[in-house]
Amino acid sequence: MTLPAGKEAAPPRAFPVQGFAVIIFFVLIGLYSADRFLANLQRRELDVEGRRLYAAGQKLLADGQADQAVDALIRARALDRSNRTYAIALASAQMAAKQTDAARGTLTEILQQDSNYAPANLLMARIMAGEQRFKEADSYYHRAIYGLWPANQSQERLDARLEVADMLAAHGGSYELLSEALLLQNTSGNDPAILKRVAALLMKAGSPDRAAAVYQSLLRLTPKDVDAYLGLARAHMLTGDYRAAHLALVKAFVHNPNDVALRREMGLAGKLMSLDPTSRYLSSAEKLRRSSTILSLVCDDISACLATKSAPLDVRQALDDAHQMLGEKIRGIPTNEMAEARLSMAERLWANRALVCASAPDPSDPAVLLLKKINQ
Amino acid sequence: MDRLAERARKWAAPFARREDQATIALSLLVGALAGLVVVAFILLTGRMAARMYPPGSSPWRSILIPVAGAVISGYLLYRYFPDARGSGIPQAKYALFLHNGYISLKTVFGKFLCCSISLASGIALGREGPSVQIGAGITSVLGRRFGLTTNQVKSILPAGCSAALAAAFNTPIAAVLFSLEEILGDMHAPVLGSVVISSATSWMVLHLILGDEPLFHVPAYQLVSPSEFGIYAILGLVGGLGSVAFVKLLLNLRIWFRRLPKSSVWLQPAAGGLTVGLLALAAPEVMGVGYDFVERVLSGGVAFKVVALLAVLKIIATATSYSSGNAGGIFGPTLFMGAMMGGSVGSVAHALFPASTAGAGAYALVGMGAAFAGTVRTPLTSVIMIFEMTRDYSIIVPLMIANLVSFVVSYQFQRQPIYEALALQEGVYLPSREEAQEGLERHQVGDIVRRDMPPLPPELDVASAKRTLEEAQLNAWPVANGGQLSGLLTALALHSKMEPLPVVVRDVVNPSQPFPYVHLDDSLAVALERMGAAGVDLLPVVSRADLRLWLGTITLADVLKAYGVNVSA
Repeated sequence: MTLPAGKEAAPPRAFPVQGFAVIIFFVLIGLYSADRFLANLQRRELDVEGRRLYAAGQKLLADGQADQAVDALIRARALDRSNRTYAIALASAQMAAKQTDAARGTLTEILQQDSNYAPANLLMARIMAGEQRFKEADSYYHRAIYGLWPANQSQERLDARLEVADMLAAHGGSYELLSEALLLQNTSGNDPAILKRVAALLMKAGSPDRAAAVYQSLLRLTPKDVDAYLGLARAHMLTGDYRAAHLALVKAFVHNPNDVALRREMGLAGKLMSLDPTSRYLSSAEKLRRSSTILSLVCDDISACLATKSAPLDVRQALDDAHQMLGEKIRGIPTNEMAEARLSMAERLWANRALVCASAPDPSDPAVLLLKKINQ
Repeated sequence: MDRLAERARKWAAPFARREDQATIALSLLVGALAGLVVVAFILLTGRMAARMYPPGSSPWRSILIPVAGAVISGYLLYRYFPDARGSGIPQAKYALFLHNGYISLKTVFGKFLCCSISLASGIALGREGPSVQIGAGITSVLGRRFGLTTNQVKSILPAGCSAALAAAFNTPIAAVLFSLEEILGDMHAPVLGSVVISSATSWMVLHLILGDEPLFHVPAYQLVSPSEFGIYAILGLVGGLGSVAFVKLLLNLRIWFRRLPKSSVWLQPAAGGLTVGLLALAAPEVMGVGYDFVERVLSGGVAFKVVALLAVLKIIATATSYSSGNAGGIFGPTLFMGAMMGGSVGSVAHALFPASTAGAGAYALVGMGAAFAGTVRTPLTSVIMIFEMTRDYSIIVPLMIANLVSFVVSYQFQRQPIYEALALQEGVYLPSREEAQEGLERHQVGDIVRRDMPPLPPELDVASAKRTLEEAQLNAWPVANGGQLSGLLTALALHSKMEPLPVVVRDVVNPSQPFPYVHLDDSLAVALERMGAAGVDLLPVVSRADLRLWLGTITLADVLKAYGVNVSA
C-alpha cells in the first residue's frame, strides 16, 4: 500500500454545527435501533441453536455417548450462559463421562451465582459422595433439600432426602440416618414404595420398633405385600417379639406359599419362640430348659472355634465350667436362679467369643438373636 | 426551528467557551457513536458468519466461502477502499502521526464493509484492530465536522480508539491503556481524560445492548503451589518464541506478497482464504475469530494434541490471511494463539505434576497475555487486559512473570513490535516507544544547564548589569545573594524603571515577586514554554526542594541547539 504523502486534515470549514448535531442525533437513534434489532436476532438464533444442541446432548447422553454429549452441551451452554438447565445437563454429562473436575467447575460456577440452586447442590453432593467425602456430600445434600428447585419441588426434595439417607445407610452414622429416616417418614405421605424404603432405613438406623410401625402402616395400604410382611417380621425379630414375627411370616406365607426363604424365616422364628427364656408365663423348669439350650448353643459355637484356634486359659476354664454346669444333675425343683446362672454363663462365654473365633457370628443365628434380646 | 437552534446555541455556549467541557462532550459522543458502530460490526459479522456456516453444513463451504469472501473484500479494498486494508491499528497511528488525524468517512465505511465480509467468511483475523480504525475514523470525521483544529482532532483521536476497543473487547481499562501505550506510545499523555470517558461510554453502550455478558466466561483462577511460577516462566518462553515465529512468518510472507505484480493485489487475499479453508478441513476451529473455542480451552478439558495443533495452524492461517492483504486484525488471533500455547503448556504440566499445578485452563489464560506481550509488546495492557477478564488479583503475579519472559524473549529475536514492523514495511517510521522514552530523557534541562553564568549580586550597579546583558546578548540574568536567588533581572525592567532611578540591581529586582524558573528534570519543552511566557531568553535552574537555590542557568540558544537548530546560522 502506498500512503498518500503528507495527507493533511481538511481545514475547518464553515459548517452548520446545529444541523450536524441533529444528523448525529438521528444517526445515534438509527444505530441504536439497528443494534437492538441485531442483538434480538442474535438472541433468537442462539436460543434456537442452543435448544438444538441441548436436545442432541440429552439424546447422546441417553444413548450412553457421554463424551459427545459433553461436547454438544458445552456448545449449548456457551450460547446461553444464563440457562441453568443447560448447565445442569452439562454437569450431569461430565459426571457420566467421568470428567469430575470439569463437572465440579461447571457446578461451582452455578453455585457462585446462586448457592441456593438445588439441582447444582444435588450434583455436587453426588460428586462428593463419589469421592468418599461424605461430610461435604451431606452438607450439599441438605442444601439441595432446602434449596430452590425449578419445578416439582416437593418430589425433588423427597428424592434428595432418600438419596442422602441411602448414602448415610451405606457410609454414615446411625443417628444421622435415623433423623433422615424420621423426616422421610413425616414427608413421605402414603406412597407404599417410599414407606417401604423408609422402613428399611429405620431398620438400618437401629430402630426396628419404628420400622415395624411403618411396615404396619404399609400393610394397611397394601395388605397382600409379602415383602412388607417379611420386613415386619424381621423388625419384630430384632425387637425380640418372636411371636409377632412368626405371625407376620405366617401371613406372608399365606400369600406366597412357595417361597423357600420365607419358610426358612418361619423356621427361625419358630425356633426363637421355643428358645426365648424371657417369654411371659414360663415355668421355672421351662426357663431352665431354654437357658440350658442357649448355653449349649454357645458352648458348641465356642468349641467349634477352639478346634482351629488356641484360646486363653480363662476362656477354656469358662468353657469347662459351662460344660460342668450343663452336666450337673438338677436336684429338687428347678428355680429361676438356676436359669439365670446358665444365661449368665452363656453371656460370659459369648463376650469372649471374639478372642477365640476368627469369624463373626451369623446374625441370624438363634443364639445371637436371643443373647442380644437378653442383653437389652 | 430557529428557536430550537437558538436554544441549542445557548446550551452549547458554555462549552464553546470552555475547551475542556467541549472535549468532554465530544468524548462522550465519540464513545457512544463508536460503541454503537462497533457493536453493530460485531453483531453483523456474527450473524453473517452463522448464515455462511449453518450447523451440519458440508465441508466444501470451509474452502469456498473464505476464498469467495477474500476475493470480494480484496476487490473492494483494491478498487474502492485502499486505506481500509490491514489491521487498522497501524492505520490509526498513521492518521495520528502522519495525516494530522485525518481518516475519511469512506475509509470507515470501507473498513466496516470489507472486514464484515472477510471475518464472516471465516478468514482467520480479528475484529479489534478494524474496530480501532473505525473508532478513530468516526472521531476524525466528527472532530472535523464540529470544526476542531488539526491539533484538537489529533488529540481526540485516541479517544475513538479506546472507545472502539472497549466495545470490541469488553475491557474498558485495557482499552484506555492500549490507546496510551500502543497508539500514542506515551503513558503520560494529557488526553487521558477524554480516552477514559469515551472508553467508559462505549462500554456502557455495549452493556446496554448486549447485557452484562463478559467476552469470555473464565472459571475461577487457581494458583495451586508457588512452584507453578517456574512453569509460568516456561509458558512465557513458549509464548515469546511463538510470538516471534508468528511475527517473522507474517512479515516475511508479507514481503513475498508485496513482490508479486501490482495487478494481482486484488486477488492475493484469496491465497489467505484458500489456506484458511484447507487448514479448516483438519481443524475447523482455525476459522474466524475463534473466541468460542478459546472459551472452551479456558474452561479446561481440551486435549493437548488439539490445542498444540491449533496453536501452529492458527499462526499459519493468520499470518497468511494478513500478509495476503485481507482486512482484519491480529489482536484477537494473537490471544487465540496464546490460549492454545498456554493450554498446551498447562496440559503437559498438569499431566506431569497433577498435585502441584492448576488445570490447563489457568495456563491458557496466562498464555493469552504472554502471546500478546510478545507480539504487540504492550506489557501493561496485556496484564490489565487479562486481569480485567478474570477480575482476580491472584493472576497478576503469574501474568507478570509470563509476560516479562515473553517480552524479553521476543525482543531478543525480533526487535520491532509487530505494528511498528508493519509500518516499516510500508516505509513509515512511526515514533517507537523507545524513541519516545529516549527523547524524553535526552531533552532535559539538566543536560544543557550552565554553571559558568553566575548570578549577579544585588549590590551590583545598574550600569555593570546592563553591560553584562549586552555583552552576553541576553535579555535576562538571575540575581542571587550568596546562592539564594532574589529574582530575574530583565532588560525590560532595567530600562523601564525610572523613578526612583535605580542605582544597584536590588532597586530593580523585587525578591518578594515570583520569577520564572525551571528544574533540572524538566523537559526542554517546558523550558521553552516558560521562556515564551515570560518573554526572556534565559532561565535560572532551581532546586525542587528550595526554589531560591540557584543550580545553574539555561539559555534559549542552548535549548534550540539541543533541538538541532543552529542559532548562529
